[in-house]
Amino acid sequence: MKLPIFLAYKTILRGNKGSLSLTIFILLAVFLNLLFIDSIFAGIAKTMDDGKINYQYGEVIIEPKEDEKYIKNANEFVNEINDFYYVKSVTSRIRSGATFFNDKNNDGRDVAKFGGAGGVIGIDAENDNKSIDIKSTVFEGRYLKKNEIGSAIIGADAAGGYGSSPFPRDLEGVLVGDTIEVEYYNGISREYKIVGIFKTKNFDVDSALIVTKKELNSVLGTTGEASEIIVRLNDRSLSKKAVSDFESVQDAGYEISDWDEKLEFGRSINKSFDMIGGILRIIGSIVAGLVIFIIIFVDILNRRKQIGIMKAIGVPQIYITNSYLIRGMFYTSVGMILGYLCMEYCVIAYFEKNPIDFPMGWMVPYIKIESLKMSIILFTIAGFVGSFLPTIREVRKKILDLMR
Amino acid sequence: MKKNILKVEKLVKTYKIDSPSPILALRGVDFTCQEGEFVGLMGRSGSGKSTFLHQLALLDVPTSGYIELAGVDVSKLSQKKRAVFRLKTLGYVFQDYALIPELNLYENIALPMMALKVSKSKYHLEIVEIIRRVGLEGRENNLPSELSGGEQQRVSIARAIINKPKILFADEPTANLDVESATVIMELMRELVDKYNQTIIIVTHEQDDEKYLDRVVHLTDGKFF
Repeated sequence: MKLPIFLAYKTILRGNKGSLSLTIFILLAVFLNLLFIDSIFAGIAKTMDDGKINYQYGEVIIEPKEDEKYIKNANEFVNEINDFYYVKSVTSRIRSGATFFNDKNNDGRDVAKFGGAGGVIGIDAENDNKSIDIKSTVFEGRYLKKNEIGSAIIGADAAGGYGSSPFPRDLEGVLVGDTIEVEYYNGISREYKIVGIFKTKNFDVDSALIVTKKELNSVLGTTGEASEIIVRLNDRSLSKKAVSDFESVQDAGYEISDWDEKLEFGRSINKSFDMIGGILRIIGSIVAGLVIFIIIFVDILNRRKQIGIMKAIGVPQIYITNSYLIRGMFYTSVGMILGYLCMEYCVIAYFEKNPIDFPMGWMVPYIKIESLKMSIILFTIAGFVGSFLPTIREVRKKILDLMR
Repeated sequence: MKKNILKVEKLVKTYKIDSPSPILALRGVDFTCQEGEFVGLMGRSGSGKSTFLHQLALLDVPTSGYIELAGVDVSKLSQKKRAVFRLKTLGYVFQDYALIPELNLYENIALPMMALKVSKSKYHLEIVEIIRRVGLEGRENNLPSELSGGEQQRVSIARAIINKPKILFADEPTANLDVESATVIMELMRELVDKYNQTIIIVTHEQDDEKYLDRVVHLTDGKFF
């Protein structure tokens, strides 16, 4: 391999720098395109997952058994799981189904009614945002204060009038300072002054009304119970271990699920995206192979006389072929590396500062390691085939035909 | 008595052999050359002299006939063995120098040695000596584009003889050169014959070159006269 490497190295080093730059730039662009399309799908899937994890389920969620309404000794359980080294934060919440009414003109007429999915959530306003950061999504008004009574913050989808919503009906434009009536499923009605409006882009959350735990306890007659305990971990990959560990705490007897189990809907979309991404990746690789083929073919056409010279001297064909293969693989590798760096440090860096506004969240393109590996493998194969075919085609020609 | 190093019998080369009007470039040529002989092939354009040289140097495959080079019947060699034979036994100087533009003078000359997997420690001194012999000391790192036509042709000769070939072929090596450079090249080849007993077969148009040659053969319409 010494001579092929030597020839490839010298021709790259001393060849036309403009052609070299153009070749590598084209391959960079092809690989970048391959990664970008894939990263958009992965980014959408991740945005959906993150939306559910960050605003709804955490990495692990603990719920009562199907036939029970509440987790009874919630505080004790929270204290126990807080001791695990990988637990970042824990919050317990209480929930209730309810219907919201907005009497816009305070005249009892044209009352907007909303009985959406979110219901009412009672939170510990002081600590909840360490686990579920609703606070930062409040775009009008303010967040709840500790033990605040008679106030609520409402999700944009329930409030209405704050962009597209998946619900056919909403409260038709609740503003900060408005008062809405909430009729709980136990028959109790309360009026709340809206102090803030939030938008997480997770419609399960954005259709909810959030009050303090103290307020909701007073409605439901609960004290230390919880409807759900949400656990955030330092490392998402430890969620299965966490579920297993938590199940053994006090022989818990609760429904303990990790985020992956909770994202059934998201998983099926992810699979569809993976499939589309895979098809696009294969098409992209074929295009990449053709581009590499054309580039190497043009390069070889410009060098066919040199191939003839080397053949005339008696340099074995395999050395000549290998030297062009090495060149082709060098172009491909550098194109891939630069394409990846460009994607990571230019494209993704740009979108991290300027995320794309998708209905399910702020999307930043995301490169999945598996997809990256597959793209590298496919691009390398494309590079090899794209380099090998034109090379072998020319190298096999007669010396005098090459020398003409 | 000098022995024959090259023997050709009834060599035929036909182009477009399957067409209704094939071109008969060589019409049953017989030819011999002795070791250490400097032979010139002359003839008008299209007479078949380059075609003949290509067959001898194994750059092309004849339609029929027998070629023996350095005691080997090369007409029976496979493609692969022909390449190895060219590398080890023959040298070829092209009219247009045919240097690799990205390799410097030293590397162009070293190319056949590298193809033979000879280590640099073994060929380095030989290259230094050959560079001195062709009068290009101090130009080792120059790329072909930095050399004149005459200098490039001297590099081409150095590359062709670095493997100590039994026979050196040259296809109009002075055609692209000025008179002064052409003289240097012909004197260099004469010196190779006189000092190192190198066998050289050269195609030339120049009548002036005859004074350097031991023998001149004339080709007309694919036959010697």
